[in-house]
Amino acid sequence: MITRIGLGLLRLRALLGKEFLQLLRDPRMRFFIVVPPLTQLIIFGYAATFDVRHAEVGLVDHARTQLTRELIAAVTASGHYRLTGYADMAAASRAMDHNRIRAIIRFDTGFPEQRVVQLIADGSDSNSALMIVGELSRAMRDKARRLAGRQPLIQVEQRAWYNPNLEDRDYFVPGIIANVVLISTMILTAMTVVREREIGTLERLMVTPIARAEFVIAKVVPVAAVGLFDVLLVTGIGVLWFEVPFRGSFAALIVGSVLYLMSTLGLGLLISSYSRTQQQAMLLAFFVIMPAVILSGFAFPIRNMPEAVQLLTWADPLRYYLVVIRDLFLKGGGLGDHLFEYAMMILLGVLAMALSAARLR
Amino acid sequence: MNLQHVRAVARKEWHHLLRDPRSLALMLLMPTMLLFLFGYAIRLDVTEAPIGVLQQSDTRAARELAAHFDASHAFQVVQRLADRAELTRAIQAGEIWAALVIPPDYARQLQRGRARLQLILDGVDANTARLMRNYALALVNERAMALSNRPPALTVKDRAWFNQARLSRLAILPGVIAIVMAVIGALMTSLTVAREVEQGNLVMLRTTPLTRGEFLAGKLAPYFVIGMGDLVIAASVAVLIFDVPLRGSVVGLTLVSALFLLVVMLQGAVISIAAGNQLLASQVSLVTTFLPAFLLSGFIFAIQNMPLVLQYATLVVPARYFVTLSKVIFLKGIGPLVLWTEVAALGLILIALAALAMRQARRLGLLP
Repeated sequence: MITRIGLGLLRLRALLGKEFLQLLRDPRMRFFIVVPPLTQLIIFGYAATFDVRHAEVGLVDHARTQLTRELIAAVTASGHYRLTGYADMAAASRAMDHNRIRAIIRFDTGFPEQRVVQLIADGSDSNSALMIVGELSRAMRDKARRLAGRQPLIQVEQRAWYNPNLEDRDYFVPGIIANVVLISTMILTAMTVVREREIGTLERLMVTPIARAEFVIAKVVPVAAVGLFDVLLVTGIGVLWFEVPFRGSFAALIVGSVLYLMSTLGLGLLISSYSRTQQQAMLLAFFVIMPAVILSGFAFPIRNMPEAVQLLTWADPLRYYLVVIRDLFLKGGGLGDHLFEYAMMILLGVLAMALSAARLR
Repeated sequence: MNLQHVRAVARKEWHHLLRDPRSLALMLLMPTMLLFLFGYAIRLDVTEAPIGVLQQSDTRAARELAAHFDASHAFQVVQRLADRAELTRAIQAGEIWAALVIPPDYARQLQRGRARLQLILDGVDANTARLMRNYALALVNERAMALSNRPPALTVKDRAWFNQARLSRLAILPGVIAIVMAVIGALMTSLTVAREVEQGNLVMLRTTPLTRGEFLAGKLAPYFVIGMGDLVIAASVAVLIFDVPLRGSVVGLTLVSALFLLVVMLQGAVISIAAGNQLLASQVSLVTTFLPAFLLSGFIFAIQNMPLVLQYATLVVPARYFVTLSKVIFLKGIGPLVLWTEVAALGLILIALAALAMRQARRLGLLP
């Protein structure tokens, strides 16, 4: 009995050594354990913003009064908008057609009497349109009220908790960890298993005394190590370079990540059990990654989704990990705070592993 | 280039695809899957956001204000908060996304003409917080106007052209075609060439009179057909199911898509030759084609909102030009010739990539 376990451990060590070697031997592979997560982090950290900090705005001023000039000055005061004058609406709308301006402010000849200003935004970018219309109209209304010498009837003092400057980065960077781990570990697991099948080494392994569990463990452990490395890498750079706060406990980060890795590795094995070629595995992985990312609440709040879609998100391990990791970064907390999320990730992970174990005979 | 040779390679690749119906089905299902995901699950606007109200005195004015928030499409009052501690707990737990604090002297101050309110936002999701702030300030302004007996100093009438209802769906779906093509074009072609290298078939091909150009053209041709098929599926689903208007010309959209597809396919070819194995090729093409198509193309995140350095970096992202063209053709109904700079940029990238692919192809060891 003891010798059997001992032999099993020996085999496992040999297999693990082979897998680690295969993964890390090729300098191109080493490169790609580090570079894709970093690229994702940098692109997301800088590119993923809905905040309109700079917009070109067209101006059609048929009134040309002191008041319109004052209102225009109020719009440019924030430094977020650059105005370009157009002779008429035809010229301005042509500029919008060509994506040169994102909104048009229009003062009609009747403006001095009616005091009505028209704001037109380019709806082909709906989110920016909402932002620009909101900010421009507020700036002009406030200015007009001050010029009229009136106090605002109701003043609103506003405060944003956890993220006082409303940095999109603080929201996205923790989410990138979840994405990076999903993409790299799931694809690595699926493709390395399928590769053995594609080039025929899986059949050769079958005639050796290696057990199924040993084979799976040897495949999964190096990938899990890569996943944990990526978690630490992205967390480190997110905190040090992007200055995203990390307020929770480090132990909770590790525990949450390990549980999450269980489900991503399980999904990877499941995909490999359904694929005969690496191309199939890649396609299937894509069919898992896209819904998992979109439905997780990573960029789009789950509450805004239709009810039926909201139900689907319950089966998404990313959804639970995101709650854990965002809370750890921005709100703080420790090991005991996310027991429900931990339980769901364990459940989904065990389910995926059991399913693929049943199929990988 | 001998067309017969190209056809032979293309036929072999085509059989390969047909023999694997699962992959083929997935490739044809991809546009529909993505359109449903982006069409149903994504709403960038805020509707019925759960908020709490901490009403520190029970006056009519305070009740009216809370009711005004509740009645709006942006907010839904889900909690009446008893005190600050409860407010903190509810936001911390994520039960409410924002809280409106109406102070005890609100009604009295309102009569004096200067009332104050406090709005507390959960800032974790910055975009949602900004939208909620915009809506809250607009609602308070409406309320103030209704209570005041003077005419407003200024009336702002706003509209959104090309998308009256400001549906995020309309703004996003035309860009989905870019994602589909990036995946089919780059990801799939990068795997197919790498597979021949990995499995050693290239060694056998070296003994044939096949040239590298013929080999690449033949390898890519079937995927071009699938990519264009996906375009038809994607455009039909977008128009028929999601009511995205196709205001521009179908021919223009087809030509522009074909150009973009060729560009991403050449990207895939270059990657696969350089990578030499499928795992690496897939990771590289994910990072260099799919991710930029998703993030740096203006598909969801407007390029003008990015830092200047990154805006310049997007100039080499082919998807950027295609997303612009697709949005403009769908929503604004303008022909691709009007936006000739975008078309020209895609053409330039195509030529550069073709040259690069032919150079890289030397490593295949086939005849020149």
